[in-house]
Amino acid sequence: MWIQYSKYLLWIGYIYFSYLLLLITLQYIPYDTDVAFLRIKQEVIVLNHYKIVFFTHVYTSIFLMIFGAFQFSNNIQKKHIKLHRISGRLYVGILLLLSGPSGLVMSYYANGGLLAQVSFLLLSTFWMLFTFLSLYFILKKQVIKHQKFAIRGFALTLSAISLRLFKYLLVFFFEPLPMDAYRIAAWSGWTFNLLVAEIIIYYKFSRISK
Amino acid sequence: MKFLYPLICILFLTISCKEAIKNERKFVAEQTFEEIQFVEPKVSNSLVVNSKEDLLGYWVGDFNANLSDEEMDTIYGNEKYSNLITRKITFSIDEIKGDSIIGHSISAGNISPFKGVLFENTSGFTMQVDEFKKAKTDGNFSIQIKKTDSVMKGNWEAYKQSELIIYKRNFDLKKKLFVYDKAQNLDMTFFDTDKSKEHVYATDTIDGKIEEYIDSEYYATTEKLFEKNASKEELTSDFVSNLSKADIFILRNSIFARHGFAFRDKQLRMYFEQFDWYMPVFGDVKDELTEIEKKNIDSLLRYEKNAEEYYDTFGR
Repeated sequence: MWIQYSKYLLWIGYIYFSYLLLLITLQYIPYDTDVAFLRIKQEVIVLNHYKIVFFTHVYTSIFLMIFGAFQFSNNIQKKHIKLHRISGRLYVGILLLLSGPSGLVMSYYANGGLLAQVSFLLLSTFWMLFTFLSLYFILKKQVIKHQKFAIRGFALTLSAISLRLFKYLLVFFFEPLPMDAYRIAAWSGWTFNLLVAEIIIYYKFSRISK
Repeated sequence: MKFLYPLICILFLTISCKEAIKNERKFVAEQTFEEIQFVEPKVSNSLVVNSKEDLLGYWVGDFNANLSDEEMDTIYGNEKYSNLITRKITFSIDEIKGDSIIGHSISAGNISPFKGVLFENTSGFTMQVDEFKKAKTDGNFSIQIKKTDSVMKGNWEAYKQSELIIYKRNFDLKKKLFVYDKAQNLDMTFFDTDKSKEHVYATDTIDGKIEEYIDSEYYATTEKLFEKNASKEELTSDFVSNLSKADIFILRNSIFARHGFAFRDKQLRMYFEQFDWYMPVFGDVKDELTEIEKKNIDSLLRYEKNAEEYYDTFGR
């Protein structure tokens, strides 16, 4: 029974948090370099390449939430394989060409010092690597490996949510200093997701192998 | 997997991000003041009164309630009023023409102009002045000061005594020259007594029973506040980005305090009045700020707004 309801709950959660991410994106429409997060990024937003990568990241990443959602529906995978392929290509294309590289450049300028910068650099590198491997293995027709890396890659896509959610929870319960909260969230945001991804992979594929 | 779902459910029920993203901007800048015209005093530098001219300048000290014991008892009994009993006053004598005298007083951030008459006799001066702001806190001052002395003694009585809780006050003021000193430091923690959360704590007592007690946690500054002086050096974004909201708020307002800004905000006033160097004399200090201070105010405001909007929300 739990499985039945939890499926809907996961979807509701996914839609709710995607909506929150959309609201964050909408803060930057119309184009403005002195709003929201950028208000405390004034030293780097003057750099042209930062402007380019920042707005690329903000405007494209939200689409990954849409296309990413299609990829894990069993229904679509089985009955509408064409949709799975089209949406998958869009997802991988946006990620590897736009959101990923722009995220990588942004990591270099991350708030929170070296500790946070390293975290974001690793995050964006793994993000692109796993997504690329998932593409690579499906082109090689190795479906199981494709699925495993797709799960890992998408887990890192979801760090957009978990990073912000963890920061919210940290502040809610412990009220740390803002940058300390940010550093903790920067690391826990994606490592936790990757851990969950490995657990899911372990249970999902060990069941098949039995 | 199964245990993860109920966890998420519980998470949703307990803390749904209601104000998930704040789009409104809240401003907490303490730079509002009343548009009151007063002549900048032609301060005479003598701190001892020998002639009429020596009266010109700022006289500062405590402005104490002067009521009967019964009346005081009722005020002490009421926590809401207890902070009204003593406050700082700056009594500024701006101009003396013949026997007429013009000036303004600053108390609790209220700038109130007055005018009146000055009498001179062989032993000293007496003054009778009236406030004319048409506020309910208006009253008249009667003041004595001896020649070759440096203490101004006096009383204040409100016109509308029935409308005020403390309608009579007295004071002993000393003349003080206002000097801006960027080196003045903060060394006290700020607590906003209006913003607190109650927490329940549990402790073990001697007889082994667990006892619960309630303690209030205030919106307060951290130790980081004492590390830097926002009037002396340009603050780095590394430093400002890891300050609490209260730290940023106090650090920014300390700049105004050093310039003698008269805060209207009760919490700020009570905080800065603890420092001996603080002298509330101006209603507007914007033109006095140094380049370093302007830069710091700008960056502190950025982080303050950022903290307001994003610290406790799902965002960034």
